[in-house]
Amino acid sequence: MGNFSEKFAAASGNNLIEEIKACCDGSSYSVNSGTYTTENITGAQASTASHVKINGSAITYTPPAGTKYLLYNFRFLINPLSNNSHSGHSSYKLHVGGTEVTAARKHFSTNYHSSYGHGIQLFDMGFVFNLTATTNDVANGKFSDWTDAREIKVTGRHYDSTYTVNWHGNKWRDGTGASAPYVLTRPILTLKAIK
Amino acid sequence: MGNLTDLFPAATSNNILEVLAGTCDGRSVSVGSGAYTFPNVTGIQNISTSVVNVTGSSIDYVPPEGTKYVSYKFNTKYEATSAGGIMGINIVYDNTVITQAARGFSGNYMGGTSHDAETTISMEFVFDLTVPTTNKAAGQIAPADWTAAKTIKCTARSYSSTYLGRFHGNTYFDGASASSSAPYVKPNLTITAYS
Repeated sequence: MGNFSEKFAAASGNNLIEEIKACCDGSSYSVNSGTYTTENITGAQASTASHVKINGSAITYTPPAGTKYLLYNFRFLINPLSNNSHSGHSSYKLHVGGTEVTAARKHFSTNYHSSYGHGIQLFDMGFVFNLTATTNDVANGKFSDWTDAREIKVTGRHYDSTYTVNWHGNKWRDGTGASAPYVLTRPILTLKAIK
Repeated sequence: MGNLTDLFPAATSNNILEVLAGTCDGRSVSVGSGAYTFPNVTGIQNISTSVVNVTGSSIDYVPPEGTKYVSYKFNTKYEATSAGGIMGINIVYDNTVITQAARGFSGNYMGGTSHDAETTISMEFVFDLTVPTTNKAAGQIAPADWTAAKTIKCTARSYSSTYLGRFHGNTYFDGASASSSAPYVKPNLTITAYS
């Protein structure tokens, strides 16, 4: 008979409790903290002058016991909606449980052109939430009491009506300017619970 | 006394040794390989034609024993402040540029006006620690040569004084200048050690 440690290997230093990495196609993922279903992106989403949820970005997540840090990242495609959309100026916010994490605010734009708004780019909205805080400071992504299910999502809006964008749809591909419905680039949602 | 499996969890097939992830707000994080303090980014960083360290990107890291691969990922914002804002950015290991990780960025050229381009920049590389001899420029590091902390960081410079830019900033936000509502965003830095 060998040593216990040969038959029952000691736990390593692995501090990743669980990870979800998903294309937003409506699939369900079961991990230790529960079962999560991603939003199913079925088409491009047009921006407005008010903040709206970016489809695919929302997940109602319960961190597993022992989570100290929670990495959230939402990678999605931004495309100015028409030639006359110039540069696609658009602003993005991250929210947890209905409160904005203001430290995560980001703005997107390509360089301005009066008639060729061609810029298409992937964009990351992410943050590593600190769950070891002694008091809540949601604006800076710090939490002392996140043990329940809370919705994380990204919202976006265009700068004004001359800079509209669509999310997830590719207008320019393979030698032609496509008409709606555009070829989709599904967003990728990543969550890592770290102890 | 509990079950043996409680005391000595069975080894799993998980090959992640540790994840060190944080938003660059000066937080301290302890993982299996040690305690690390993330950089604290408190504002935008203008760059010029001199090579500079990108604020928030630097970490002195030592992989845990048994590491075969180390993933470094740094995500922040970059924006043009003149013309297309052409810049070059590198990942640097122990003062050596990783040549295969080099990349450039530019918005469309717009002369001296309407340099609106701003987007997320994600710099990522996977170091190979399975090699017998070290070739830093290729990101191949013999395990015996990485048993003490080595600095991994990003450096950047502008193409010329005509094409300037800055990191971490938001020039516009929600239909207005961002100077008061979203002046800058803190980067995210993630290190993953794999066995």
